Amino acid sequence: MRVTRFLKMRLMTHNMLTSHVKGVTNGYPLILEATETNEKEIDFNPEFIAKMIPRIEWSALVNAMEKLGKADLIPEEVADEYENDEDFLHKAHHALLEIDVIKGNLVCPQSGRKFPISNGIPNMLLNEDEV
Amino acid sequence: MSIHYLMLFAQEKLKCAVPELESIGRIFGINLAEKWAKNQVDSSSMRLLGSINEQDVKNVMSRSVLTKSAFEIWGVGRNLSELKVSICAFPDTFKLKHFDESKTFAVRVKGIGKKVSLSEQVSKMDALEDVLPFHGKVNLTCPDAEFYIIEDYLDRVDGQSPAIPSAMYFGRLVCHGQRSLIDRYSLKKRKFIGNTSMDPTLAMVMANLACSTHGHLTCDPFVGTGSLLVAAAHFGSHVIGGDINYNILHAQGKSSRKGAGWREKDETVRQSLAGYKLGDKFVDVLVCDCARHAWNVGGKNLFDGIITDPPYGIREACQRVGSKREEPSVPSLPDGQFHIPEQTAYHLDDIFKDLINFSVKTLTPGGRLVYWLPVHRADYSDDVIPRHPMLRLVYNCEQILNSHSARRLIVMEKLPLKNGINSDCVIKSKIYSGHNAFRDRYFKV
Repeated sequence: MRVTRFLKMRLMTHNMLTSHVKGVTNGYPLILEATETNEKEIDFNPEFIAKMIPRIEWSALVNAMEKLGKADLIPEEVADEYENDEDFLHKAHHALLEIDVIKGNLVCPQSGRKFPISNGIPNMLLNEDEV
Repeated sequence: MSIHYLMLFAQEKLKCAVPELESIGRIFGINLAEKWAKNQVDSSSMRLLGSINEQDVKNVMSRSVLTKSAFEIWGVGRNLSELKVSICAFPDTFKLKHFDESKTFAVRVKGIGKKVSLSEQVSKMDALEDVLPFHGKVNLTCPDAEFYIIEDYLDRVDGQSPAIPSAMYFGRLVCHGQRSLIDRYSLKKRKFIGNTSMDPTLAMVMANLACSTHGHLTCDPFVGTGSLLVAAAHFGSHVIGGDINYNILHAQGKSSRKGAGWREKDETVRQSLAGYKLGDKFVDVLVCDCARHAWNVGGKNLFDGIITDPPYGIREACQRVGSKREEPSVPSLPDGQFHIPEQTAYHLDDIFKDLINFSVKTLTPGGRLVYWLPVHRADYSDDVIPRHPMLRLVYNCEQILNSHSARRLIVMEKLPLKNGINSDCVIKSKIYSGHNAFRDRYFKV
């Protein structure tokens, strides 16, 4: 079994990260460049997703889905009564947790600095000349 | 008359059973701090709860690892005759259904701090016979109800257990706690472990103190092998983490287990959780420096809880990205390759300040930060605890490590204040400043 089968980064994590390169003032959201992705079904937990919606920058998620060519899978805006909107929560769940980025980069929108994702683990370390 | 429940604690070095129960109560919406009975016996091995219903006791016990068992108390006394009077006074409404002919029962004797001999046990059970008219049959393996005579022998005289107990209780067993989890999550049976993997008992206690539960997102910024996240995920929380150590997250390098050789490909946090059927709770781990972390703290609150065990410099080095050289040069590498940055000392006071500031910015209001603070015991005072106007210190429990050092389990809760988010963490004491501040103190004694 290849190791990449079980290592990946979720879009939820992408949504919570920002560029922290010195001098960058506008580092959010990171541009997602994915060269290898995968999809896997995860237990749907509407309670958890509903709690996460206010913590998610929805526009950044839509943006990331566009980059993956999956923009049609989620609505452009958060539904008004999302807590009770099963269909909406399902789509959010799919976008946040079921799409795995195995290989690619997270790119700082201001400086262009690339943070590599390998084996599904983003490497957000700055270099010693950047801290 | 209200019923009292006796919570019998396990004998652990970390005296944290009361905070653990109160924190679990918070998850279920029960304010246990108000329910501890007045006039408690001063004992680290048990506590009495009053004005609480049995279902709430069971709820709390469904998560506790530091409480062995809970009993509905029928009688208390300093000796057998007092105990008998007390049992007689206990209302029949609670007793009669258990005396019924159709119910099987068992009576056992439990000495705390002393083993009670079989003949003594029998004589004590016999002595209570006239106040306990059981009509059903005895069933020692699977009774309908189980009763205990609990004797407290903890008042030691010259290191010896006393001949007679200081207090006696008679009660019906309500349920046991979750001591069995300690074995299920034992590090001995876990494949992916590191030098500082957290003991499962303590990990479970930390997840309880952080009130980790379903629908939560719990973060560990010093995740290592993910031993704390296993506990949080067990209680239903989704988990996420970061670590500066590229190798440990990528299953590279040698295993911490003696003689196990190189790490295998499945030695990752995600696989470790999947091995306990908790894979769906895993969100991600990332390679990240706590001193310069990449979480988007400017916007929204991200986590319901943060549980972590920062490195102190004893078994795991305190390091951050940085260089001793004034103008460090980084080679340019072709695409697909990356540079592993040089690391430099990360002072303990900076680690704690960064952790506190990070928590203030990422926790939801009411969210908890639970972490370990190492201290040389002689240096300890309130001043060593990092403070922040947005965080309320809820609990502070000491675990003694050896004759001179200890670590303290600190529980802080984020206050729902409007101002103060940009205030800085303050540590009044200077004991954590300088490189390897704790390490040097630890090894010089």
